Amino acid sequence: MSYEAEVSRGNPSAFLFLIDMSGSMTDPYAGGKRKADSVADAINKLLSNLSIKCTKSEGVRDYYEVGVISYGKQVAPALGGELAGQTLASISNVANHPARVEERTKKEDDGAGGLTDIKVKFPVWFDPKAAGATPMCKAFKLAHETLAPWVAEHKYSFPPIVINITDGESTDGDPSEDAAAVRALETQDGNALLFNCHISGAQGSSVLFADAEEGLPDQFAKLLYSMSSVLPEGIRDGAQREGFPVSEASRGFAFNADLVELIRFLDIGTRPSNLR
Amino acid sequence: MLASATAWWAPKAGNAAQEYEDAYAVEAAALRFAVADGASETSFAKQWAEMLVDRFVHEPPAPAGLREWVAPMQAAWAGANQPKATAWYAEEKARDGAFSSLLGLAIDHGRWRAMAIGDSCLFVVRSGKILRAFPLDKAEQFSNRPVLLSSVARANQRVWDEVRSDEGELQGRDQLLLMTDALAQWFLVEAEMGRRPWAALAKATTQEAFSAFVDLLRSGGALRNDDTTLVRIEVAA
Repeated sequence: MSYEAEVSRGNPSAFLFLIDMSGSMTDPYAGGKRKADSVADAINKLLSNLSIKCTKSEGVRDYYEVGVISYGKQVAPALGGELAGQTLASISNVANHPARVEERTKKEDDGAGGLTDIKVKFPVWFDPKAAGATPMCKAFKLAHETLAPWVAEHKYSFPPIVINITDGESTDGDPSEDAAAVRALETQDGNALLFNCHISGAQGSSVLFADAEEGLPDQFAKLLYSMSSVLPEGIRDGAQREGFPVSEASRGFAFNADLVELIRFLDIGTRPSNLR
Repeated sequence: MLASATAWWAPKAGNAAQEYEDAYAVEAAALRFAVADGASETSFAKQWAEMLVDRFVHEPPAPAGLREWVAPMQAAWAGANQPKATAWYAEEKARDGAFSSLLGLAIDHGRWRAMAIGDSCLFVVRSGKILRAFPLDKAEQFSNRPVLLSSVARANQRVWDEVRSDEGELQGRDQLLLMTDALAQWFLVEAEMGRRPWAALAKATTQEAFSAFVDLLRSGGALRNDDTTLVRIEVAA
């Protein structure tokens, strides 16, 4: 049986994000925002969600270890502030050390049929700095290097989930083999999962959890699809509950998801099991 | 009608006793009983679950009056349970509120009446048979996302349509068992396989015996590792 390990402080899970910060990520995307800014917002929102999820009365419980690697001009760990230089940090460390905390306003249901403006804290760990090429092979190599010792130390944990967000073509070769090496990492509960989000400029309607290569508009989308893990049952059920059409062949692959969809994709993809 | 009640509990294995987030209340004189399962993804879930069961046994809600019954507790919550901490996540988490299931049972004039939100369950057992399973009656109905009662009003918009209630008459020697979801799921699986889970639970006559029984079920994989609570009521002959 795979992908059934309960996530606990004794057996935490790991998420590693690989973020394309090549020069082309400064292109505008849905809503006129730069791709790099949309992706940074999504990552910050996700880290915030994960921190809040692990918050209990007494503080943040270390159910997860999290890392962000950006690739572009350099391939390097990308969390800012006190976490700079760390490839993986415990979620309590992440929660306690954002680079800064911004205040944003959002509309919220007031419980009496109306909307009210409320101020919410928006912590920022990751600032986009897009420049250079797209060394995706190198990014997967660093992911492998980061997670190989992790799986050795966490044999009974839910396997790590690696989420790669990119706008397209690798510039340092075909990443298939390096991606396969990441997926080959394993704990006793299964192989590491690799999910890819393709923030393309190409025409084509957005697809989340694609289950076939047909219909994907170009070779880069098809390549990323082929490198993506098939969703384990628990995550597939989560996607289904949220109303996504999924099949047993569905993979962790999103094409041209807008910011809201991207956050939902990340949110579902990082819900390996609940913490009960 | 005379009845005696016992209540046993066990925290999730790997968690400390103070991390147990179920709650139960037994008001033997008034013949009111409640169990609640504080959602582990929320902060202060234990306090919210405690608040619900205590109020249920002391001032039970009128039928169809649950929204009004919860309102003063939500107001008290908003006033009292804001963390003093300044950490951004504590603030955000507090705004999300705490969530809990609630199962309440009252015995009056030879009848039982129960209300439930979420997946904590009541089983009425008579003459070696389950007479009633409420609100869930099949093991497959348990999911990871039950509807739960929140300490913040805006999160309860969809709850009110999900409140279940039920009632029935009682006879001497009936057993009423209130339990949180993991144990209830085990109970239904056992019953579906033709076994007599109420008899197994009746043997746990001390807290130590109940804890040992829970450990045994967990180690065999029969019981999901979760906070576990049982209130067992026996109607006098």
